[in-house]
Amino acid sequence: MASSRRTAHGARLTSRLTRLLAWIVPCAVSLVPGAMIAQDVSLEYRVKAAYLFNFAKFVEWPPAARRGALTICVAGRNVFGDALERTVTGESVDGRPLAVRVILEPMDGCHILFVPRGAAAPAYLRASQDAPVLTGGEMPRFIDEGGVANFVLEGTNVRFEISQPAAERVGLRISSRLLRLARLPGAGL
Amino acid sequence: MSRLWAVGFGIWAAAVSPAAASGAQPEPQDLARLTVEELMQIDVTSAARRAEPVGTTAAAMSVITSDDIRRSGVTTIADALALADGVHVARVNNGAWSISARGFNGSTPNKLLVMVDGRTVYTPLFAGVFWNTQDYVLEDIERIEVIRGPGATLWGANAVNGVVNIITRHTRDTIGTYASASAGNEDRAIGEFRHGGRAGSAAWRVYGKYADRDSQQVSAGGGAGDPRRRGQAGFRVDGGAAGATTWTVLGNAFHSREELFDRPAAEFSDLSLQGRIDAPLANASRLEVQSYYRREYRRVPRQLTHHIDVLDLDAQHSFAPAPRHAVVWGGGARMNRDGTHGSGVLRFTPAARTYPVYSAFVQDDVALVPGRAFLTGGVKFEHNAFSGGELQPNVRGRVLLPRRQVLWGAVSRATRRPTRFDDDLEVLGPGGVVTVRGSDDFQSESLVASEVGYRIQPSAPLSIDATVFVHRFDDLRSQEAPPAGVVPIVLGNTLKGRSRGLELAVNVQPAIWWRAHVSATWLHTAIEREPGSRDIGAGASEMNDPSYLLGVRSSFDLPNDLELDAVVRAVDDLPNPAVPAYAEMNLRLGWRATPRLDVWVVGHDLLHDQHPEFGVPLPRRVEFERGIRAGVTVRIR
Repeated sequence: MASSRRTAHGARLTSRLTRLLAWIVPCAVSLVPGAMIAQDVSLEYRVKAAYLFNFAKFVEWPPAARRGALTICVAGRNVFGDALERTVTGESVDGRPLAVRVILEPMDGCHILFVPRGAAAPAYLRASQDAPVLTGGEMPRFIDEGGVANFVLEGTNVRFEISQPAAERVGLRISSRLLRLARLPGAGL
Repeated sequence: MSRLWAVGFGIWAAAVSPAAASGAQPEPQDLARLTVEELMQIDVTSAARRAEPVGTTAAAMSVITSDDIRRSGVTTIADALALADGVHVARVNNGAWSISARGFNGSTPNKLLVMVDGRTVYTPLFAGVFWNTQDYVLEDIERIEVIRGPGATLWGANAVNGVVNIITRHTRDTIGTYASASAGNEDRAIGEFRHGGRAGSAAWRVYGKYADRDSQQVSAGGGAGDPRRRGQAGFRVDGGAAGATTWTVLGNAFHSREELFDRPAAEFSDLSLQGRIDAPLANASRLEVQSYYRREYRRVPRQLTHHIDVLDLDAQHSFAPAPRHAVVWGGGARMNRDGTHGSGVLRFTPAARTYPVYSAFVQDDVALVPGRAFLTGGVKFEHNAFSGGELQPNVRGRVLLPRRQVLWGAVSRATRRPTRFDDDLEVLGPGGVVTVRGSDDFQSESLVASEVGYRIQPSAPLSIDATVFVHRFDDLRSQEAPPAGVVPIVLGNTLKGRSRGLELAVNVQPAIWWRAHVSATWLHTAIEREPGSRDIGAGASEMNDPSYLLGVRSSFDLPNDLELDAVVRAVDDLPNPAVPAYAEMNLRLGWRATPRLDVWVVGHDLLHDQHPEFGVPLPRRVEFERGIRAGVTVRIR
């Protein structure tokens, strides 16, 4: 290969890259959100908030539940502080914006329902047993009680279990990518 | 340069004074952008440095995840490193690679520290890595961390141009059976098997793999005669309760048989056995102790046969002496014992040698403004049998700005200590005349590196990472002409060098189903003689670097559980020996048929019938051929 051709090849790549950067850098600046707000929520719940956001991306709801904002409900008390809201603010999944609600009793309109330790899990699970709701917990036997997903602490990491039968029963389709990363229910160390 | 050090340590000394103490732990970075795989690895029980997301470290770092490796379709650890930003991976033939970051990628690159599960794997023979013996079930590699630039203070000698940490999965993450089989025209057959389970509070796995690769071509046409067959087996056991003392024991055995041109088959073996204990102590302090044994055996007909036994013991203790301080200190001892059998081409004198290395280090990470500004200062002392003691200090600072921006800078010194190659090598000419030999006076090569980096991770699906660096080398290896006559040439330290460059990486996720990663590196390296030098090599064997590296990865998650991935890389021409610039591409299409079964096809080196990446054009330089491979993967839990 002639060296002039090589140089031309290099110059072409460089100029393409320059154009790419010229496009990306203004995008970066225009997409910067508001300033970071200091907060005291533990890392554990910040990680769980990020998981819930990820779950929204890997679960397919039945057509009837695909209208309006994708709502993540937190049952009983808001264990997330502002972490969950900050996680989903400005985000969208399949073109749908995300919303966060703290609910004090079972109610309709939740796509994901997180039931923290200490909340009345059976009541919330009973109320959503026939609705297309991804129920998430953080206590032993949450899956046995009919929950779809459950956080477990493995060593120093937060992991999760998923019950595919429970998801199918309420019409949720969970991506195999997420299922593959899930722990077998009850198998946590 | 010494003034720079004075300034650096001045700042550090001011930071560690009592006035700076009291306050909270570092605040972790926003997690919204992390993938599920990344979230699973976060240590939520402490705000220790290991729990920090990559985005906030004061070093130029990229992480290759298990998913990146799987979706790129590579079949070796060495080729996976090409996925990291700013790493030049040049294949020499089927069984040899030249790999470096930030330049000085010669025929025996020796300035990277490479570790697998904390075990150093570069050969003490010449401080480079025999990449052909580094293998694993790729699925069970959790991640590969690549730190560009020096990391000597924490990790030790040879962390000059970079540190590569290859980390395998914890056994609790590999419960069940994994089996994968593939076949192709270049990678003729690869089979991998792993099975993991639990026993009480412990988890374990055993694995094995076999691979057979076809011969490549040479520039002038015809086969390179470099087919390669390799196998590896091993185990790992992890035990102990969460929050209490945990332990790990692992072992690996590798063997390969490789040919090249008309040389009789060479054989390579690598054995390792390792144990580690991690004990949480009172007041959030922690003690880690590890020991390993490694044996490498290499028989290359008409060149060299050698074996090396390495026995290593390390301990480190981390604690917080004051609210804003996080101190790590520790030390280690390593014993190397080798035996060599030379040939008519080269030999080592003495043929066998035993040589220890001792080291001790301390590092303090200070929160100047909790959650916002941090300063890290540290120093490592190391003593080796060839050139004595070396001091390797570094100072790093980082500032976390609003809108998820990080600005960091570092000044560090690192050394590449002498090896058997530098000290005891004898290259033989016709009639057994010594034409090149090592020198007992060989000193460590040293580097002072200055780096500045900037990252921004806006809430939108975008992150940008940029680093500028200047590396200044002293006492680089030279080839000194004798005072009279032409031989023997003696290895010396009379070259100095410089590399500077810009490293840029961009992650974008234009849609939930599409992720892309773009990286670009511009690099300039130069070597010159110091006054009084009688060097005749002009550093030609110490560096052969491209002036740019470009990489683009694109991952599509398509409907019906299909995955489509493209990996493109472009490397500028190499000056000496000259290799033309090239761009190459891998494509992979995978189908997750069920949660248990994957089916996939990979096309590699697609843009040319065959292309060279390193080496002298004539008479025989190996060129890599286009190939295709298809396979199935089964996972049963």
